[in-house]
Amino acid sequence: MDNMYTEYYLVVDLATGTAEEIELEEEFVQEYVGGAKLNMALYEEHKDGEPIVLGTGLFTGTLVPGSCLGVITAKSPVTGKVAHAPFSWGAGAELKLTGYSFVVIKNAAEAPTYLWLHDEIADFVDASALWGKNVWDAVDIIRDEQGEDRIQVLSIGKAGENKVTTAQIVNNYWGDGDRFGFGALFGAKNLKAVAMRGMGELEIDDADAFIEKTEALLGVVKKQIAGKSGFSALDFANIPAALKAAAEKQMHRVEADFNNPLPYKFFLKYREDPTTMASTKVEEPGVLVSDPIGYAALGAAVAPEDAAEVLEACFKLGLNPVAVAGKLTAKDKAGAIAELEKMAESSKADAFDAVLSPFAPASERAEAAYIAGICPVLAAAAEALNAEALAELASIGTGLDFDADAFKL
Amino acid sequence: MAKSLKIGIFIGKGASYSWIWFVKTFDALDFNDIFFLDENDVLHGQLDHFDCFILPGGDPFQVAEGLGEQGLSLVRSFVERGGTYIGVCAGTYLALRFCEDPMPWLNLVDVPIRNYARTPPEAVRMQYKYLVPYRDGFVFHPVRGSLEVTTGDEVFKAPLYGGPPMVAPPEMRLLDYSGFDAKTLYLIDEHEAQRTMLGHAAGIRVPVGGGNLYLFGPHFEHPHYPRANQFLHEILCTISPLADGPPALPVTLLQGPELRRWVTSLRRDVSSSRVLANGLTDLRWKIGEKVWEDEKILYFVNELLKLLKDLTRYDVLPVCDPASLRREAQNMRMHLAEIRVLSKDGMETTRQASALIDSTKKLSKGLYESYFMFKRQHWWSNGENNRTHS
Amino acid sequence: MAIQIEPLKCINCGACELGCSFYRDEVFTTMSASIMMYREEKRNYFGLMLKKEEEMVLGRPEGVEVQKDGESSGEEEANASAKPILMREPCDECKNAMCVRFCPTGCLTEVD
Repeated sequence: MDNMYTEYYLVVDLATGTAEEIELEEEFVQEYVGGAKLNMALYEEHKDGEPIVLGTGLFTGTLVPGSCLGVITAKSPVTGKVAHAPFSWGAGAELKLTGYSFVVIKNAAEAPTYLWLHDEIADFVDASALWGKNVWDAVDIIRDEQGEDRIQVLSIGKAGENKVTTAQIVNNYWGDGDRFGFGALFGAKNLKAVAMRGMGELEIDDADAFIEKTEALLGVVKKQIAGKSGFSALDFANIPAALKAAAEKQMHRVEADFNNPLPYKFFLKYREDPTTMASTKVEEPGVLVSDPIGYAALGAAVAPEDAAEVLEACFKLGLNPVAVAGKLTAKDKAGAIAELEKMAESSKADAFDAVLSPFAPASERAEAAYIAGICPVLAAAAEALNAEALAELASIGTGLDFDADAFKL
Repeated sequence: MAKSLKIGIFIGKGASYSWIWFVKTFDALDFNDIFFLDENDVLHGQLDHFDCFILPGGDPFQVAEGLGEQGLSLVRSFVERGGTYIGVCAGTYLALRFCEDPMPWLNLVDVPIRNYARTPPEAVRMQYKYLVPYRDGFVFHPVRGSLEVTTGDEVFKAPLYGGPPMVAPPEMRLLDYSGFDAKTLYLIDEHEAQRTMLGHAAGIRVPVGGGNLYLFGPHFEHPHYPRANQFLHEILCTISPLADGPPALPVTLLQGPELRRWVTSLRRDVSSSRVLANGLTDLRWKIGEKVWEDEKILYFVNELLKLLKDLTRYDVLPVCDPASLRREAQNMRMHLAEIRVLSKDGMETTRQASALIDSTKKLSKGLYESYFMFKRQHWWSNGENNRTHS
Repeated sequence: MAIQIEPLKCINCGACELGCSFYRDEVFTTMSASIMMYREEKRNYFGLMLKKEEEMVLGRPEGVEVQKDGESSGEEEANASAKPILMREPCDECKNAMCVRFCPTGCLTEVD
């Protein structure tokens, strides 16, 4: 396929332990483009199997700025509607490069399982030893078992296993944009994790023209996000001054998702001197603030200097920090973490109304980003990443014909 | 006619990865009678069945050790009886008598080399693979990488990874080293390298008994150098196809779902090996006198995966021993997993690396054997129907 | 042209890997790059490794280190003539390098 997608997508039936490769037809791409939109079409097609669809956007894994996005589409136990949550960091690109741009996961496994995707191979791996493990331990075990630290893992912790609707799917060690309780769906399917190693390649229709256009776009995007990094990229998260001040004292480094020029994520260290740059014996020195809104929510519930460590507890338990922050009563760190442990056993998220995760600012550009596979935080900050520009780039890269309307849900 | 040449490629002890280049190039040139030999095959008299015996790059010390005096003697008599020997790099050193007191190798051709000295010039880079001790002197490598060779009036490029510049009389010379290019890497002083190499033979042909030896410094078989491949092709076209080929091996004919299950199981292990291999960093291996080009292990694995992906589209495939290939794929994965664990603790992994290379080689050999058997057999003529994806 | 790394400007986005791989194979992959991200994720320790023909340049957060082929770290005397491993093709020091062009932070620059 010279349209930046893989030749096949995958339909997994956890109940039978079978996986079927289906050709990703060009007409399908022309009609649904990708990401949330194409996920939705696959969801409808396989609705009977109560599917979770993991999908990538047209540009996911390419050199288009911010091409990190993967999208989880399923019926949310929180909203009762089919909804789309982002997964960023390295996982979006990794999924596409496994050889499967889309994976439809149907039905439930009889016993705890994790799905291991690599080189157009889908392995069902016994996860009984992982069940009950926190997210961080599960990721370590999977990486050790399969032998590479670059394996990307979407997994659940105790909260997901217990099917609580405050659960979320965690991206490696760090919470991502699942506000919809999709973690509980993984739990209901006896699916501990989806692990991915993407060693494939994506072909482009008119590669030279695509690169030229992409490089020019990057130039404009860089100007539009100039000076933004960490907090200065996060106005939308409404992080209060006191929390920022506490975070500054723990600040290690900012960093970015796969091919994302906007480093809005930042790492806080509280178990060693945050200025430490070397790799030390401290294995878990802190947490990546991958979910700034979640961090802000926790910062309002506990003391600002404790928010990072409570965020870490959420990630380990696989809890959505936004859903649990308002339910915390303890003001001290230990008390809050103990409450989170209980919430991972039994808690319910408050209902809200959204189809796209309120992880990043909502806008038309966010909608286009969810289809294109672009980081929605970057799309919010960079006007250049609008539907018109993406449609033009899409036409060059695929040899198909797209207009701006194609990038609307 | 040349296309029906029976070609045996040595992949036994001491052969490095570069034999895969021969396979890919010969496949592209549409030679289908490609077979793979190790030292045991040579010792069992298999050479009699071939028109052409290829000794590719690698470690000549290990090749000689594996073949032993008996094996070397069988190679000599193969040539004397009319066979064609093509040596590249290690295969060239193995055939040359380049000093007064040579190692007990083939020693069929008395031609000195320019890169043998008691006191070699000082290395300016790549100390680790610059020098190989040989008797009371050293074989040194003046340059590596792409360079220019000349045959007649024509100049073309070919890569050099340790092969010699030879001091041969005009009647032997096929081509000379004639220049370096921007991608030539100097391991000694540039002027010294020019003095050592340019104007000296990069390839020679030497008749011995009824046969011929073609001895090359550069890797003309490298798939990225089409003109060099063409040069090799022209030589093959001069050889008369007389041999009957080795006796047919007993095969299991895998078909339909059984074939797909088997290929998928191999793909699973090879892909897992690829995951593991990619996770390796900062290891140090030296096997025998050969420093392994680490990226080439991944090259092996990647080529295997490509081949397996192609084989998933077949509906039928003859395989010599499906179970043993399955085991080799598992071994490959296991050795890599072991290397990963040991290297994490800073432990030595050369033994595992050696076993890994062995498994990788056996698996590659088995799969290419099947691939060429398929290409040769009558069902091929049934057209694409048997290869369609199902 | 050689590539210079300023490790503290790295945001670990991997655009360099993607760019270098594209330069080599004209497809999007991370697999054929001579430059590779390195990350100890939980420690947030990350940097770049650039494989050159005869050395490996390690862009660690604490500084740039050049590991020459064949250098022994002392305890590995037996293998002193071996070299560090990174299963990639070495950098060919191409001009107007994609890794540099697509690096969004200026962490990578071309120098003579």
